[in-house]
Amino acid sequence: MVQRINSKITSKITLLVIIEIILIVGSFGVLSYFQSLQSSIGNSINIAGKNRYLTANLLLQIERYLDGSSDISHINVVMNSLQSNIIGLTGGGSISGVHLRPLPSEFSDLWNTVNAKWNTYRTAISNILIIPSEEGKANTIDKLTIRKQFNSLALDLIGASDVLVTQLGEQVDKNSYNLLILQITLGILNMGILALILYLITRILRPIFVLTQAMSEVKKGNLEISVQENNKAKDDLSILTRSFNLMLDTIRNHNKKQDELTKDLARANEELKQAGRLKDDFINVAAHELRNPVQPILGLAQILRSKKMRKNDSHNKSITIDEEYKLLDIIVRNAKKLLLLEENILDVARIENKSLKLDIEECNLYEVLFRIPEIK
Amino acid sequence: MIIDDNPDITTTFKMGIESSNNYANHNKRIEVYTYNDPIAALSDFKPDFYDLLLIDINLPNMNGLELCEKMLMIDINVKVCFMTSGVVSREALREIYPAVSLGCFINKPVTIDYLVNRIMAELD
Repeated sequence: MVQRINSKITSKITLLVIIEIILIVGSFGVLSYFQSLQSSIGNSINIAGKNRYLTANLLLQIERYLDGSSDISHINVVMNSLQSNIIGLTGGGSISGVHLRPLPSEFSDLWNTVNAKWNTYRTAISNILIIPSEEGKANTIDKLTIRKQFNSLALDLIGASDVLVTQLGEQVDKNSYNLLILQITLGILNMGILALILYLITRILRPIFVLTQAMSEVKKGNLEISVQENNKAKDDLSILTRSFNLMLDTIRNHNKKQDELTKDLARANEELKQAGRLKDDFINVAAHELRNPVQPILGLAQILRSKKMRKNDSHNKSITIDEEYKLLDIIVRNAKKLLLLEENILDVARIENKSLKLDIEECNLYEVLFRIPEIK
Repeated sequence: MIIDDNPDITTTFKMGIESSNNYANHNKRIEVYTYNDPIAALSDFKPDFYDLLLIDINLPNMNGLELCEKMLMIDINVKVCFMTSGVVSREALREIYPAVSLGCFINKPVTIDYLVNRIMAELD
């Protein structure tokens, strides 16, 4: 029973804790994912920004080439750099030690523009600077015009790249805001679930608190309490509460029975004491009644004896024969009284051990009553 | 004065004490008055007449100590001896009747010699 209660409470709480852990881990996962998206967009901004520098560099190399202070190979190196930079921007991969994700699809239009500008620029370079190579053709073409053309193409490419960078930057801003909202939302959700767990734990454990309180009351000796119980609930703690109340009922009933028994015993004891007192009284009265007739017998016998002795003396003031008879009658009457008393006491004993035999015969009730001195 | 509800006992005591007048070696002559009813005894009681009261404790209508109390109100100098044939707690009686002296207590039955000696001792 106890084990079952434990397992049920534990499983309820464990389930809630698992939900909470999943939520926390999930929150971290989601946030980390969005964070990594943010940083990858940042990387893209970085690489797209590099276009500006490479384009400017290319322009510089072209200038040098046109001046004749550098050869075409420098232009090729920078062109290759720019080419891989732009391709890497859309396809992803490792560029300049930075791991890049493919560009999000919503930026493909902007990238296409950049790429188109780049292709125009590249084609122009190939057509004008690399492919011709007819002797002196380059020289014949107006260098100023070429410079102007390349400048404008480079500016186009830089402009397109800048647009991409700006758009990516805006996207980062927007994402940051959304991330903040998401963080707050998940935080609130976590707190809510935590509060729910605490509430549920308190609710699950509430009967235990109530029972503990009731127990301490019982410990103080207050048995006139009962814990409020939910009759419909079938969970273990409700059963425990019900059992607790039943236990209190049982204890109360036992106490009541014990009290009744104690009262019965006290009553029986009192009756016994009363009987003892009555017996003592009886013995006192019996002793008194037995001693009373002895006094005349003893006293008169002594008197008569001393009178008889004195008769022999010269000194004669003796009592008459009639008086002597009177005294002897008193002695006999008291002796008879003593005998009767003795028989009465024996009768009491016979009544007590239920062996008294009644001597049933007709009698004169008046005479019987007249013999009783108090009525006489 | 002897007060006992049993006439046989008053008769015995009266005869016993009066006969001792004839032969005893004291020169006092004791006169004995007996009563079987305390109310009659009280109504006949008068001051400076009786030397000694011999009162039974268990009497009808009023117990011996009550009677003694009333008689002491009439004659404070009279001497008292109580008699009983039952079992009596003197301590309990002393609490209920603090004014009554319980110095002389005779447990019946007694021999006539003992009774007379006791009375003489009280009268001396």
